Amino acid sequence: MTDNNGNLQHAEPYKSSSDCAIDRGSLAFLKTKLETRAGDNVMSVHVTAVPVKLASTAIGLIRTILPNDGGVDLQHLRRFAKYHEVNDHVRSAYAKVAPRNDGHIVFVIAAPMAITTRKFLADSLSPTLGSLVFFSIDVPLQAPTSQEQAALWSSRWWPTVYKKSNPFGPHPSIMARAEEDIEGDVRKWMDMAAEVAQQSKAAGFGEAVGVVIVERINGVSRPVAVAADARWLNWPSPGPGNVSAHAALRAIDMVSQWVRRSHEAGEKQEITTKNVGIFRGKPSLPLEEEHYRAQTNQTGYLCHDLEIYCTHEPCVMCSMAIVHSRFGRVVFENRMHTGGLCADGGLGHGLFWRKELNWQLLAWQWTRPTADTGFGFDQLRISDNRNACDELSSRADLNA
Amino acid sequence: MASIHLTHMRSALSMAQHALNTNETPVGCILVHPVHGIVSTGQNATNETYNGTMHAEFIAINSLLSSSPCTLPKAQDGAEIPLGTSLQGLDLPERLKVLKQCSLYVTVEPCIMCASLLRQFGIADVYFGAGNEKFGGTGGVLDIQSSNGLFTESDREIKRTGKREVVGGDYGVSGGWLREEAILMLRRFYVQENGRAPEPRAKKERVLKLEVKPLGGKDKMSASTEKLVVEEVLSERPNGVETTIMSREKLRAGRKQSGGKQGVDKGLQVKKARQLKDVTDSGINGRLERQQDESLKDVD
Ligand SMILES: [Zn+2]
Ligand SMILES: [Zn+2]
Repeated sequence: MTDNNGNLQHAEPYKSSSDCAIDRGSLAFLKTKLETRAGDNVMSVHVTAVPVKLASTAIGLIRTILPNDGGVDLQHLRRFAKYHEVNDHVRSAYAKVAPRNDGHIVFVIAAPMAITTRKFLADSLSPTLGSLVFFSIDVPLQAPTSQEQAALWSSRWWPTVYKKSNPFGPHPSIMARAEEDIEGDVRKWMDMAAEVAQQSKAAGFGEAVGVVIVERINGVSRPVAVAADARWLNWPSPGPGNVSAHAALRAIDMVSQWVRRSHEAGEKQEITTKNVGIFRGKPSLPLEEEHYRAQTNQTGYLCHDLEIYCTHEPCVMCSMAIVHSRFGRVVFENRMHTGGLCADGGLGHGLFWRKELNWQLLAWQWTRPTADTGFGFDQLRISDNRNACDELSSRADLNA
Repeated sequence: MASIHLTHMRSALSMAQHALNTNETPVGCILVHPVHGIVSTGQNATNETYNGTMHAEFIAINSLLSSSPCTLPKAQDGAEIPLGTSLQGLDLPERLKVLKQCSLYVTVEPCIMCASLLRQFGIADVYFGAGNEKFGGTGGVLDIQSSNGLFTESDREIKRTGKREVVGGDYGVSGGWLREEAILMLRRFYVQENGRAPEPRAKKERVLKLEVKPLGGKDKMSASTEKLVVEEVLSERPNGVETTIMSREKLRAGRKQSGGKQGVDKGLQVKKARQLKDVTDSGINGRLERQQDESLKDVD
C-alpha cells in the first residue's frame, strides 16, 4: 500500500500542446478531485477458485446473488484469471487456503469485500459449486488510464483492462478539443476581465476581480456579460463586503436577465435591472454596460454551456454558483486560498469535476505570457493589474 | 428546547409550501434572531428569475438586509408565520450584526454555494430538514460550516488530526428536523412537475409515495430514500428548471432561428454526436450521456 502514488504516475492531467504559443499565454487543465486522491486507489475483493468447466456457472450465480456487484464497478478487471495469468502474491494467497493445487482451476473475483462476507458467498455458492476456498486480494479501484498502466497493475495486482478512458476526469479528447476551441481567444477574454477588474477598483466599487462570460456558437465567440467585483458598492466596510456582489454572481445575474427576457418576450414583463438589497446585477461600469445584452432573441437555459473567464479562482460560493448555472468551461488566472475549483492545494474541493455533483465542467488555470511584462501601453496596463492581483492573492482570507 | 426548533421548521415548511404553490422547487427557510424573533423568510426563486443561484437562503438574507419588508406567503397557502419585531429603522451595519446572531431554519440542507454564502456573511447556526447528498454543503458533500470544508472527513484520504480550532465564520449545524415533511414536499413537486411538462416523459411513472424510511443507524442524514428523492428532484432540476425540457427548447429555438440557413442543425448534430461518443468512451458521466442522448433524439 505504500507505493500507491507510484501507481498513479500515468494518470497525469492532460498537458497543453500550446505551451509554446507564448503570446497566448498557456492553459493548464486543473487536476480533478479524483486525480488527487491517490490513497484510495485499491479495494479488497473476495477471490475463489473453481474448476474451469464451472466458471460460467459461477459467474451466473454471482450475478444472481449480487446483482451489479452491489454497485461497485469492476469493469476494468478481468473477472477470471487462470493460474499462470496471476502474479505470485495472488498464487501465494491461494496456496495458504488451498488444500492442493490441481492446476485445473480458474480464479474468479467473487465480490468486493465492502459489499459482502466470505460466509455469505460460501453459503450461496457452495450448494451448486461444491466446497470452495476463499481468499482476499487488493485490486485497482479505478480503471487504468493507459495501456502501460494496465500492464503495470496487472503485474502488481490482478489482470486489468485498459478501455481508453479517463476515470478521473473528462476524456482526454474532450479536453484537447475544448482547448483548441478556446486557446485562440482566451487572452482576449482574460484581458477584458482584468480591465473590468481594474475599472471596479479604480471606481471604488470593489476589489480588482473581474469575469467575462462568453458564448461560443459554431466556433464564433462573443461576450454576453462582463462584471467586476462590487462588494463595496453601497456597502459598509470593514468586513467581507457584499458577498453576493462577487464578480461571478453579478455576471450570472446579468445573463439570467436576458435569458428571462427571451423567455418572457411578448409578455408584458418589463424587467427592472436595479441594484436592490444585496443583489448587484445591474451593469455599472463602462465595460459592463458595453457588453450588457439588454435585448436578445436567444433562448437559453441558465448559463448552459457558456464559458466564464475569471481574473481569480472563484470562491467556494461562486464556484458552486458556476456549477449550478451549468457553465461548460471555466478559466481563471490567479489561484486563491479560498478558491473552490482546485483540487490540489488550497481547500482542495475541486468543485468543477466531482462525482457527487450533478454537473461537471472543464477548468483551466491560465498563465499570462511572460512577454506581457515588456513595454507598451497595453502591456503596462496589464502588468499594473497583475500587481494588483498579486496583492489580492496574498490576502489569504479574500474570497473572489 | 426541541419543540422550538420544530415550530420554526414548520414556518420554514410553509415557505416551502408557498414555493410549491408557485411552481418553484419547494425549499423554504426563515431567519430567527434570539431577541427579534423571525426576522426574514425565503423560498427558492430560480424559476421566476431564470437564475440558478436564487436559492431560498439568498432571498432570506436579501430580505433581512434590505429595508423592504420580508415577503410572506399569502393567506390561502395556510401559512401562519409569526413574524418577530420589525427591524425598521436599523441601518445596514446594524442589520449585518443582526444576521450574524441569527439561526437559519431551512427545509433542505444548504447547498455548497449557500453554505459558503452563510459562512461569508456570518450566521450563528443552521437547522435543516432533509440532507442533500448531491450537493449539500453542511455535511452532505462538504462541511463548509467548519473551516470552509478543509476537514471534511469523507473528502480527505488522510484524516487531518490535531486540534481543530473554531475559525471565524464557522457555524453550528443540526440536521433532520421535520425531515420527512421536507422530503414529501420535494416528492409532491416531482409529481406535480410532471403534469406541467410540455412533453411528459415516459421514462418512469411518477407516483407520490407517502412513506419515508427512517434514517439508518450510522447513515448520517443520508438514508437511501433521501438520496433517491434528492436525485429525483434536486439533481434533475437543482435550479428549478428542467434540464431536458430547457435544452430541447434551446435546440428548437436554434432551429427556428437558423430558418433558411442550412447546415446549422447538421453541424450541431455532428457536434453532439461527437460529444456523445466522447462521453460514452469516457464512461464516467451517465447523466451527461443521457442528457445528450435526449438532445440527439430531438435533433433527429
Ligand atoms: Zn465569490
Ligand atoms: Zn443553495
